[in-house]
Amino acid sequence: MIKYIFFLFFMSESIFAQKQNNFSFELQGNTFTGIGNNFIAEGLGTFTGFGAAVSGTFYKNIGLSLDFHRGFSEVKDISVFGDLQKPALTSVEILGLYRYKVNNKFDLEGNIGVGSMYLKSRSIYRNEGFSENGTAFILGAKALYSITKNNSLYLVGAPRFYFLSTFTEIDNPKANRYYSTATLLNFTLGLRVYF
Amino acid sequence: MRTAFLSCHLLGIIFLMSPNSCQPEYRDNSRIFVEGKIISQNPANLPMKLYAGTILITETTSSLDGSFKLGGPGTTGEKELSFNKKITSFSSNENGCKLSYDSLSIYLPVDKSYFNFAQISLKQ
Repeated sequence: MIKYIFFLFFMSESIFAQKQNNFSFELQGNTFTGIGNNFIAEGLGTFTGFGAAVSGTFYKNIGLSLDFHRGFSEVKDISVFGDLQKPALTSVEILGLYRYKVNNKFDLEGNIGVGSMYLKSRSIYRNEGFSENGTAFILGAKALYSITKNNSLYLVGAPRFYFLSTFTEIDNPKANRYYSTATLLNFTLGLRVYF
Repeated sequence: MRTAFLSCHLLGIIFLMSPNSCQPEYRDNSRIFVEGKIISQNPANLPMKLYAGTILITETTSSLDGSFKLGGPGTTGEKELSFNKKITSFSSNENGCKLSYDSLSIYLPVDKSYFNFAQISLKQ
C-alpha cells in the first residue's frame, strides 16, 4: 500500500516536473528609500525590512502576485518629519506580472500594480503613536536566476518604484504636495520556490 | 455578588485609563506645516519649538537669513510656536494667531494646518 502511494507520488511529481510549475512563494529582504523632494525622502532614512510574495502565471506568461512588505527606519530630520520615533512601513500589494524566459537559467519579470501602505511612527508622548495611510502605484522589474537543476529554486533581484499618495491634507498646495506624495525606490533580494 | 463588586472596580479603572479629552492627541493622516522669517539683528541659528500641550510636534533652528520651516504630525487642540526670546511683533497669513502673555510664543488656532509668518521680530 505504502509502495503504491509512493509510486503515485513520484508519478505526479514527474508529471508536474514535465509541465513548468506555475505557482511560487518568495521570501525577501527589502530596502525602501525616498527619492526627490518630499517628507519621506528628506525626513526619514532608508527603510530596511522583509517581504513575502505568492505569485502564479495563469495565461501563457501573464500572472498575478500578492505581496507583503514591512520596513523599519529612523527619523533623519525632526524639522521635516516631526518628533516621532521608529517609523515602520507596511505595504500590501496586488500586481500583474509578465514573465519572459531568457534562457534555461535566467528569467525576467515585469510588475505593475497597486498597494495599500501604512506608515506608523511611535511617540514618546502618546502610546498609540501616529500613522499615515495611503495608496501606491507600483512599477518594477525582476531578474530570476535558477540555482537548482530542476528550476524549482530561484534567486530573485528586483528594483521597484512606489508612487505613494497619502490621505494627508494641508491647507497650502505646496505643503500639501510635500506631505502627501512620495516616491520610494525599493530593492529586493530574495529566494523563490516553485511548487 | 462578588463579580459585580469586581466589575465595579474594573469600570473605575477603565474610566481612569480612558484618554483625557482636555489633553491633545495625535490626529492620524493630518500634518501641520509652519514657515516664516525671523527679523532681528542676529536671525541665524535661533531655536524654536512647536507644541500641542505636552506633545512636542517638531523643532528646528533658523537658517542664516532667519527663515525657517517646521513640519510635524497633526494634533487636536491649540498649538504653540515657542522661542527662547521675546517676540515684539509678527505678521501671519492666519488672523487667529495670538501672542502669549509672556511674549515667548505664538498660539496657533486649532483648525488650520498651514501657517506662514512673513516676519517675526524678536527682542535682542
